[in-house]
Amino acid sequence: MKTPPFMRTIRFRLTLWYVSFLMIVVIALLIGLNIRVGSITAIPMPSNSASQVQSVPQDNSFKNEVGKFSIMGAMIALVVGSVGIYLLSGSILKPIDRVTSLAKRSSYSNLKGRLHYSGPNDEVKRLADTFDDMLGRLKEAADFQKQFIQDASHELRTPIATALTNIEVLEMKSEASIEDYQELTRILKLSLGRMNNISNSLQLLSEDSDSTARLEKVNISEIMTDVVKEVELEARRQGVLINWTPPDTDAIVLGDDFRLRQVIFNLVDNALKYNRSEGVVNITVQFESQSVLIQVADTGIGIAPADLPHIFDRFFRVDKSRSRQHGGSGLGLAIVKKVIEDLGGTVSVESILGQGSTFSVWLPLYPQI
Amino acid sequence: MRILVIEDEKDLADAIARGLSRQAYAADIAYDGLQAMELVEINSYDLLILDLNLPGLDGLEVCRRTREKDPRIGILMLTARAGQDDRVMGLNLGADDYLVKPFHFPELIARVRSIFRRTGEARKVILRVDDLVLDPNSITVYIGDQRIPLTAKEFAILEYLMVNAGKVVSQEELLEHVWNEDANLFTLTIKVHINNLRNKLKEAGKVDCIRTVKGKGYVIGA
Repeated sequence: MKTPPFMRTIRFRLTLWYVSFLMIVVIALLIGLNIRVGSITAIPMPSNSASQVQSVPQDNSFKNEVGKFSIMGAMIALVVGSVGIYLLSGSILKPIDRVTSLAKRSSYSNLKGRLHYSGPNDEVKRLADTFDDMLGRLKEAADFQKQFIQDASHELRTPIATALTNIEVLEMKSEASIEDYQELTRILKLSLGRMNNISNSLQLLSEDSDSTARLEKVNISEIMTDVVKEVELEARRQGVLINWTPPDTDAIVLGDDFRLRQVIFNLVDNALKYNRSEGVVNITVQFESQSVLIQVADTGIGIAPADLPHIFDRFFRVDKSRSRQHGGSGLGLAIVKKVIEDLGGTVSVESILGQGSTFSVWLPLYPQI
Repeated sequence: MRILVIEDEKDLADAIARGLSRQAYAADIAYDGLQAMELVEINSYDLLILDLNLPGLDGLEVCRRTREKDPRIGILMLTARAGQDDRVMGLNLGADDYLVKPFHFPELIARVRSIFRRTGEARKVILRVDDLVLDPNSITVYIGDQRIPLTAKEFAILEYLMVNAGKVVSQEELLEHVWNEDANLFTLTIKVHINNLRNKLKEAGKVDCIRTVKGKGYVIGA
């Protein structure tokens, strides 16, 4: 047989326990009282023999009276006590029911509800407050994730639209030439490249520990020299001078070679992209006790003070189309921050609008033995 | 009909303009908001295809300023955001319609035509003057059952005249609405096109359909 729902509550159990306890106490009291009354009436009265004879029936009725009153008192105490405990436990446990119903209502898409419990600062209040706090943190995480997905899909829409429109417009042409198709292939390749870039970046940013998965000894100076070589042609095309002299000592850190290359490339590439023509990029690698400081400074457009706090945010762009023209996705610096922080380092930026920006990366040096 | 495509994604803007010109529309391109406003000041556009995410000047601001300048210009917004905030704001600022990227090009063309039906003089899908019938959807012209083969430019001229049927259209107006920025031509070119058009209509038995109003321009119908 299934127990009815009201029996499966703390309130019911508490009331049952309390009433049982009350009954034991009351029964004990009654028994005690009866014994006491019995012993009083059994004591002989030596002063007056006549009254002694008469007092026997009187004593019996007194005993009955006491018995009646004590049973009535016990009943009242039981009833009042059980009703009282029922109501009291109800009011104490009510917030817990509210927690249950709020938890039932809350879901990924609905995290707005709060308990706002205003009782005495006891265990229940602490539970309710903690529950509200938890909902708040969950909502923040869900909002962040929703925004991230929205930004990611927004970012993917543009190359898809470009590819799709170019295909459909070419389809409208009755006699398309080989040149038309060559142009279409060029655009499709660009669009797909951008989508690939975005999806790779999204994957890296959504993973928790990827950048520390393959740790190896990496020479920062060597990577820097490679990256500078890689962008040299583009720098010359833009008329930008890159100043880079590797330090005498190797800058060895523990990290993922591929990711660190990506980080350094992003920093140097940004310094080029946002530079002016005839501008300069100064790259230095210095040692500071247990860490290495990598600085990439440009003489470009700089970053407005209002934008500085957001510069490492995902999908943040200072000038929306400028970086898009360069195939950027607004994820480069977010990747830099994630990879560096995963390796126990820090990254920061200083910038003067119109004069240039300096990005500084600190990474813990691999201990030399 | 003359359209300005405002989109910072170069390959997308170029493709839209190419597609529009294949539909016999004259299309110009602006890659940022400021350039768009300059072109809107200089030229007479019938419609703007406006991306909201623009450098220089925000798409919503371009929309607002264009509306202040000329309430008759049709505005079709393009947005990459799936959220509705931008769309509501854009429509409230005076845009006529919107499309979410990525879109199908035939749908873009259909919306362009639908805006023209709402903003232009003619509200009909198919334009008629007597037995001369012009269908913008299929870019075809008929006299009775006979189809008249026209070039894209001839079609555009005839469409503009028929949309403004009964009104005298000046050569300058035709230049403004049928040719785009790249066109470097004299009014003589218009005369050549009008002549070719008249000849083709004449071959089909329609004489003096397009009349010349001396010193003013051309008129069709009424």
